[in-house]
Amino acid sequence: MSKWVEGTFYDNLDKFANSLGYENLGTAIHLSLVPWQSVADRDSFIRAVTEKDPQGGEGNLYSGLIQKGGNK
Amino acid sequence: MAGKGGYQAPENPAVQSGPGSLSQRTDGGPASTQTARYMAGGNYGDGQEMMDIQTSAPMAATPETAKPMPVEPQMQEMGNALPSLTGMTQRPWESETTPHNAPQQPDPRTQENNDLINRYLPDLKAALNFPGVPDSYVKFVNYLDSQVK
Repeated sequence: MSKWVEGTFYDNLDKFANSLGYENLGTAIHLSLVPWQSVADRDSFIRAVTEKDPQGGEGNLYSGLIQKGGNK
Repeated sequence: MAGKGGYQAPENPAVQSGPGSLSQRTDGGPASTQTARYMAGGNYGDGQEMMDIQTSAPMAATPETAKPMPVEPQMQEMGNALPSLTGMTQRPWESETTPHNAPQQPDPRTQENNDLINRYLPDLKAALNFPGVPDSYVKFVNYLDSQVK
């Protein structure tokens, strides 16, 4: 069974939807499809846009991290 | 020889007086008096009594009504820009029965979001079974699910 993996589409969507607001679902989905270089890059983008730390939860289990960000 | 006493109206009053030695009397003309008017209502005989009173002596002319102030060109331009009460509507998309406080238009993102939800929700729900799914994601998907029901 698949596991919750940081930096995947689902993880990106969790961060963007909770950071930008559920009403901006379209924007959140499109930004979640962007091939971010790293979770750190993605989170830096969210900070630049919202002027806040990325919202959303962290999974209990992280396996096969695409790239370990330095901001977590 | 002494003349008659009291007010003597001129026999041929001028419409307009000239300057200085050319001055002429203008009183007593039709413009200096007003006609009697019958006033309806009141008790029996009041109307005739009022007519008798009015016709017993010439009444002073009605004072000239004030002329309207000339309209400044700037104000005239402003007036031209204002809509006319009887002109065509400037909001043709509204019904005549549209209330002043019309209900707010729905968020244009709503329809777009609904389309996205219908398209992505099955896949998003599948991720709920992933071990370690964060609570924020579960809450987010539940919100999307509530939007389509």
